[in-house]
Amino acid sequence: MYRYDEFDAAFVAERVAQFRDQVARRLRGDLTEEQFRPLRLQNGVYLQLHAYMLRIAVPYGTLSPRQMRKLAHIARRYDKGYGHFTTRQNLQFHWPALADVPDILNELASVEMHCIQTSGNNIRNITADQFAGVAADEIEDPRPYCEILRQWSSLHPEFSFLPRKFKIAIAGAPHDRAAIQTHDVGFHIVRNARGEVGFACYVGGGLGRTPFVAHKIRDFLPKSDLIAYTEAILRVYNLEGRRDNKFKARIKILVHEKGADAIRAEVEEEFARTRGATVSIPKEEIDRIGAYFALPDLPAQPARAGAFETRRAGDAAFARFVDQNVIAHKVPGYAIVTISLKSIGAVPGDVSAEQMDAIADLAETYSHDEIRVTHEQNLVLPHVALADLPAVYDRLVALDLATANIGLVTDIISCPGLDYCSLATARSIPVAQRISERFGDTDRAREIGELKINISGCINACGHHHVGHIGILGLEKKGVESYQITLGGAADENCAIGDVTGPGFSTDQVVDAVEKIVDTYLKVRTGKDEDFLSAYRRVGMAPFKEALYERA
Amino acid sequence: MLQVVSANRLVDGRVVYLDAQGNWVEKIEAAATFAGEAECAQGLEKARAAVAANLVIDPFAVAVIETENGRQAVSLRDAIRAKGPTIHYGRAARRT
Repeated sequence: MYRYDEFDAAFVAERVAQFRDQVARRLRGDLTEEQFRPLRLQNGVYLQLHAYMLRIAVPYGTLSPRQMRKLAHIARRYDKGYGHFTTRQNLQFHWPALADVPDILNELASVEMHCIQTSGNNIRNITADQFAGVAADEIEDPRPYCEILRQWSSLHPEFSFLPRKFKIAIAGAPHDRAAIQTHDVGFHIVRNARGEVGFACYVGGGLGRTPFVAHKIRDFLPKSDLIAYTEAILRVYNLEGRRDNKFKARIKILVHEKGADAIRAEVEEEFARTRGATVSIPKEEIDRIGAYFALPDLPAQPARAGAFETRRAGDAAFARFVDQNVIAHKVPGYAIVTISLKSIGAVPGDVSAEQMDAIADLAETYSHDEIRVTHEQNLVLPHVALADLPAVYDRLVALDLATANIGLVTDIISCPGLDYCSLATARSIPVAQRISERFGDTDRAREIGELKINISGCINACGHHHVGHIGILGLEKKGVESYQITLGGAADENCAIGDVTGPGFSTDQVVDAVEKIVDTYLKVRTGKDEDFLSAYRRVGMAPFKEALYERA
Repeated sequence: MLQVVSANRLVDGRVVYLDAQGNWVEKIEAAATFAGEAECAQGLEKARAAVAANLVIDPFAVAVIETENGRQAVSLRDAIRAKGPTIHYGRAARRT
């Protein structure tokens, strides 16, 4: 993985020292809250309902065991012994004291981590496919390009005061696991007719109160032009994006109001003007950064491992885990293991300090020092030898991290909601917990098959409800929580915004409503091969609406 | 409606309430109560002074009711602020 050079280390250290001074001036009263707020936000410090919240960047979702252990240490020493992984592959601590944040940032810097641009109106942490570099279907690893964009965008003077926040994601395989079409800019690594690898470019996606699927504005961008083209998009947005209304300030509104063709023309004009004159990425630099992301030296393994096959044949629980949480690695004899942070009834994305330490140990022993964070709030051990799977599984069972539910109805994305967040209008975590407990780790849940439920506690949509197969949005109606349900959303290459079923449901009704939707799906599907989304696309809203709103 | 004054403490962000002595305390039960908006204005005036003195941030009035089970904030949001998350978290959530 990427390692800081002297410039990076000095850059982050300077930033820590700068923020330490700013915090001291705030605590002394030399800075007012109004003056301090944008400074703390640019360093990832929010004020939520109960305390400050610190959001730590996990660039493109890649973590080392050393970094994970540091997060565990911070959780224990400065917080309440746990952390929360988010839908942008970051980690949030929900209880740090402002006075401790400079020390926390110093601890993070010692393991090459920071909180720069995890908030504020700038280019945020750039996310990627969690299976980058190991997926069997991948064209090329997106992480070197994420890292190149990260270096270019960190404290970029032109783009540090954008109209609004700006999120970029890059996917490296035809199957988009990074939800790129829900981002301000999404790059999809593709191969053109001449066999060259480059990017399809998407712009203007986003969720929140006005959801849009991104428009493709370029079929193929050469790799060397990645920065120049991103700069052209950002320059058009920076000049024309609305600054008069926070709710209309994202680039998706600009694209929607002007139209994708007009934006394409403007971006291409700016690109043509600056191409070559501004940054063109030399192949040597792509190769230099790419070398940090090379596959580890994986010793040859038999394509079939005896111990693994024997265990799988004789242990149904292990076999279920393999079927649901393990996928093929591009190197035969190895597997990619997803660790579910969604054990039945748990808080989605929460992980205790003890679990972090144990996952770090597993990554060190069995996964060549690598851990990934998924935007669906799970973790991944990307390089596990098939022969080691039984040992990894046994350890995960002991840690309550072996729930075999990846992609199932209980693998729910949930924002923190009103239990923590000052923007939220309703709770989301308790709804996720009750749905999880309703379906459980059961044959029924497996019979239902792939079904993504996403829950947000307000219209800002951190829980990606618009793109859940079933989306749940928590609102407040006359002082009471009310949950609006959408169906048919998808975050992958066939990205779609879900359709609202109708009137919302009370907190007492919402889990029953989800169950009715699931039961209706089971009735209408042609067979187990037709998953929820396919069935919904075939039959439409009518049968679901009928089941939900039938008169008693 | 009965009101108390709340804010977040600058140094650590914790939820605090203004008590009758003008101190900022963590328990909503220990907060000074004001009979209505006009009375509460005095409390908010004290809170503004505390903001100027860099003790607290973002003060506001919280509607409360006295019940058999003690004092409760009227809105769900204020009740969660007063009592903490409604879910088990951290060590309490651990099952291993």
